[in-house]
Amino acid sequence: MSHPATASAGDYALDLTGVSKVYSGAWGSKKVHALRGIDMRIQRGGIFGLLGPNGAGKSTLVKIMMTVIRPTTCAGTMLGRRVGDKGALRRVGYLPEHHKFPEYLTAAQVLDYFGALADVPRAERKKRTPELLALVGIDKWADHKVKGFSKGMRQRLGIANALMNDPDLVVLDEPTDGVDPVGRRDIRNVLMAIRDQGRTVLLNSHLLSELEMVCDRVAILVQGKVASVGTIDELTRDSRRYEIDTAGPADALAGVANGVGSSALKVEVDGTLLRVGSDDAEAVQPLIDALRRANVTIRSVRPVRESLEDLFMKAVTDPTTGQVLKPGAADGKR
Amino acid sequence: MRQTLAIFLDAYRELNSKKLFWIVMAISLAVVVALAIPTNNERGIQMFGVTVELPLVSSKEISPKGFYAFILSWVGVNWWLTWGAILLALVSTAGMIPDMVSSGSIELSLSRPIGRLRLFLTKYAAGLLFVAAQSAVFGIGAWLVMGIRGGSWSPTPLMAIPIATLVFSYVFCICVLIGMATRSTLLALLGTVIIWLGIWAFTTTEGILQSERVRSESEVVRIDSQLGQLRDTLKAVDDKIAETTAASEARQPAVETLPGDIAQSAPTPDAATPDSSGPADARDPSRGPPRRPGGTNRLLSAGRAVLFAAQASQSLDGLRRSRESLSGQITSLETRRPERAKSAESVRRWHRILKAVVTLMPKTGETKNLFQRTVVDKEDQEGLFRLLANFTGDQDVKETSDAINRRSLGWVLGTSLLFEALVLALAAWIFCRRDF
Repeated sequence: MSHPATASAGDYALDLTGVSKVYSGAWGSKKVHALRGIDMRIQRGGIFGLLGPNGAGKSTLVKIMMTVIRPTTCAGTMLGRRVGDKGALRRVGYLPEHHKFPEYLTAAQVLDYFGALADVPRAERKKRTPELLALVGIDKWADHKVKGFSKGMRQRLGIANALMNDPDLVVLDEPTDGVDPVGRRDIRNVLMAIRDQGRTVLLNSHLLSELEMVCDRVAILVQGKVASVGTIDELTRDSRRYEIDTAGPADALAGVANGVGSSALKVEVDGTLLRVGSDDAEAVQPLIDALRRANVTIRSVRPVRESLEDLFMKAVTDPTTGQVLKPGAADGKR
Repeated sequence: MRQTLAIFLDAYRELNSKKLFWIVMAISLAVVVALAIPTNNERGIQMFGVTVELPLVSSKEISPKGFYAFILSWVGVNWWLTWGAILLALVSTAGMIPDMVSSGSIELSLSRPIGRLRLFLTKYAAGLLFVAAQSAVFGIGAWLVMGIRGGSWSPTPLMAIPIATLVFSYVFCICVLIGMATRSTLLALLGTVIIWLGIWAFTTTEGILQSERVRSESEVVRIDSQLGQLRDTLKAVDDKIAETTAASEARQPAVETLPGDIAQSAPTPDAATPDSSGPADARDPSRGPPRRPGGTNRLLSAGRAVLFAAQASQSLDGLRRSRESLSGQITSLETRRPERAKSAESVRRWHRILKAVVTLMPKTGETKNLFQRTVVDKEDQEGLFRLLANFTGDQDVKETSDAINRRSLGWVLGTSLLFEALVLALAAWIFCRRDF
């Protein structure tokens, strides 16, 4: 993955090398490679999105970071310490997917209990509990038992819980799962507030549009490997183009395209639509002039780039067969 | 420490949220109150102003302190605290480990800066809180009953707290292991109850075999003792026959009485029937009424009767008939002895095997008996054995009980705790190695 050449190890919230996880069958007969050598660096600050199809290994990677799963191989650091180090975990907040808080606890008690498990002093827990509940918008429910909470409220409580230990790195697994649109917007705002405080957020989600809105960088995992990684701009650079929507006629468009088009500037005609293979506005001007000269009516000229969904689909499509890869981890040998 | 306290506080909150916890707590309290109601007076048991005539448990036999100590240990500890309360505690806590390791829950704990082993052991210790709280209520209640009603303010009833918690821990560790391996509350509960009953069956059978072993070995000793007496008597009769024959040959009048030593060795009619464990003069008068005649005792009684008849008749023919009868009895006992010895050896062998098996198991029964051993003093224990001997006619009841109680605290607790440690180690190993 690309990162500034000047960055030192201390600048990374996460610096992983060769993370692999192999699950053996009941008698060691069948092996499943959930992760096949993940190398990943996440700089401090910003929101990093982790996406991939089901079974790509996203949750496995997160669980390895959080010591819930023991890796087959793993080198690297988290917040400057080796992965699994208790000192590092003390500074990491985590919201697991499908988390279950004890039903007999109230929202405030949940934060107090898991805060104590995270070794947060009592005075700090008392101070932070109302603040965090207010941040996620459930402060009025502080003394209500979790068993009466809706899915969205539980997610909000989970995010508050992930922030209880004032973490440097916040790992959120599907934080908007089961949350209504208003709740999602609220959560997005919380995430951006966390980022603005200088913390690092690792976001694991299926909702690509959500990720696109908040993530500074993303990595796409496919079958236990990093298929692509970078900022959304970096990843979509090659797909940027201009699209000129006209009123036709089509034969006039073909003539203009042939006249202006060259090996440096590819122009495709699709009905009354012209696709220009450049994101340079200057390069498009001669084409617009030629269209005007040919009395072609221009309806719109707009810059276009691939969406995260397009990137995702490209990553999960086998380039040789054009078929979408089956979901799930890779079986057998690497 | 902060994390440990948090886990204990959470365990308390979990218990507090369960109705069953408070129901069991109320029952524990009710049991203590119920046991405080009766008292023993000179005639028997008095309750609500009515006296039930039961001389066996009257204050002449057992002190009020001993009376409460018995009922608290028998009913309170043996039945309620170490069976009823533990079973209900299991129902309440069986889900603790499966819930902890369930998906969505375990991630919240494991992602915290706390080691897996520490998390597991703290959670296990917190699981014992249920019974510790119940037994604390019972123990403090028992202490008050012993003080107010029994007049003894010894702190020994408080031993109910560690003892009941210890007994529960033997069972709970099995529940934890099954819960960890299967992640199922139902399987953990069912499996634990089945294994618990299995352990109970093994330890009870071992206890029965232990009693049988003591009885059969005592019987062989008794036969040997009786044979010795009969042979002495036979020798005395032989001497008498020889003397009588010589006197007759010399046409001398027969001796009027038996020689002094024979007369002394011959048992008196009073002692002849009851004594079954040795010579009459060695018998402990505190051992209560005589054993019911049977087996070798009948033979010995018959032999003595023959000797008395011989003494009475003082005729040579009578003496010869007596000798014949004595020989028959000796032969009968000599025939019976190998049979009894073989039976004793067989019981001893099986008991040895079963004891080896039981050594590997937790001693729930013997651990709970520690309460009785601690609370009931020796004087009242002796009184108890007299009562039991009277009631059952079994003179070996003290010896068999002593054989069990002679087992050292180190053996009872050491082997049980070793079992618990091994089971816990296995559960901890699974927990520490598993991917969730």
